[in-house]
Amino acid sequence: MGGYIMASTINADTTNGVVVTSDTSREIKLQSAGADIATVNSTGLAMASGKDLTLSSTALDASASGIYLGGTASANLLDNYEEGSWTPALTATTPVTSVTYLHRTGRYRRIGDLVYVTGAFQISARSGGSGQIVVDGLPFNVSDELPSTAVEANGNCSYFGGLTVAKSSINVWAFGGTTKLYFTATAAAGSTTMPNFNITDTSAANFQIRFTISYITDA
Amino acid sequence: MTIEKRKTIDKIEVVGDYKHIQVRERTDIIEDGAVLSSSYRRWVISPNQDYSNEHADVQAMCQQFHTQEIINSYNTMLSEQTLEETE
Repeated sequence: MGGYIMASTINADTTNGVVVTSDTSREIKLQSAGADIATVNSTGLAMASGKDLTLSSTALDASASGIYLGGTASANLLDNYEEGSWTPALTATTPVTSVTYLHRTGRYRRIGDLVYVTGAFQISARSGGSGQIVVDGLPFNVSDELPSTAVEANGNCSYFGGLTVAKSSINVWAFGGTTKLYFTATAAAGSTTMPNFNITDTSAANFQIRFTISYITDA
Repeated sequence: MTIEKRKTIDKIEVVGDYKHIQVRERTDIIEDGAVLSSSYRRWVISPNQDYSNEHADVQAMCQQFHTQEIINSYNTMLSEQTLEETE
């Protein structure tokens, strides 16, 4: 049998429990010790000021729209999070013809349109290729946000080995509009510029490298 | 008890002015029909890239969106990028 509950409190203690307000306000309030905890009305569920929404054993599913943080403008909307793997592929500005890997791995975290990637590989054989070292296969396209330059983001290499030319540091940058990373390297004696890191600077038998970079992807 | 490893292309997205095709492969570890764990692997097909070895669904998307006009436009964009060659 259906019916309506007019303004009332579902509890013997009138300051606790579920408070159903009058028909005109169309609200349901959860209260404790006379204070509002949460209100449900036509706009949704609102926690009272200073009260937290805690999910102890299940995840909040906001996959259809996202979560606003710090405001309700589109610039405040966090609408994507994902983690997974990608497969880095060694090549060069003139592509290599074949590569044999001892190991290779790549991981990514995407938070909104920010992508953080790590990658590592070691080769045991390589043939062909010339020019600057390129690693292809990023999990998301690099957004072309900066005008008049392909250099959209920068990262670094935490480890490298199997070089045929001495380098003091190796850096990596993301090419806008592509899924490619390009590499630069400072010579052991230092440099006033940022020279390219070329495929001929590495051993075809045992070159290895580990790197990280963060970049913006297209929404 | 049966444990199965199942890979599926669970998301194909068309992104940006140059219609990059973003592909997500989901790997599920399944025990007696229940998913124990899952993980993602991703890659992207650019407009000027060979997609003949991709999944049929991915190929269909590439054929639809990577038109000659898009490919030409993408190649023009790439050629206009400055590589900051300093060496």
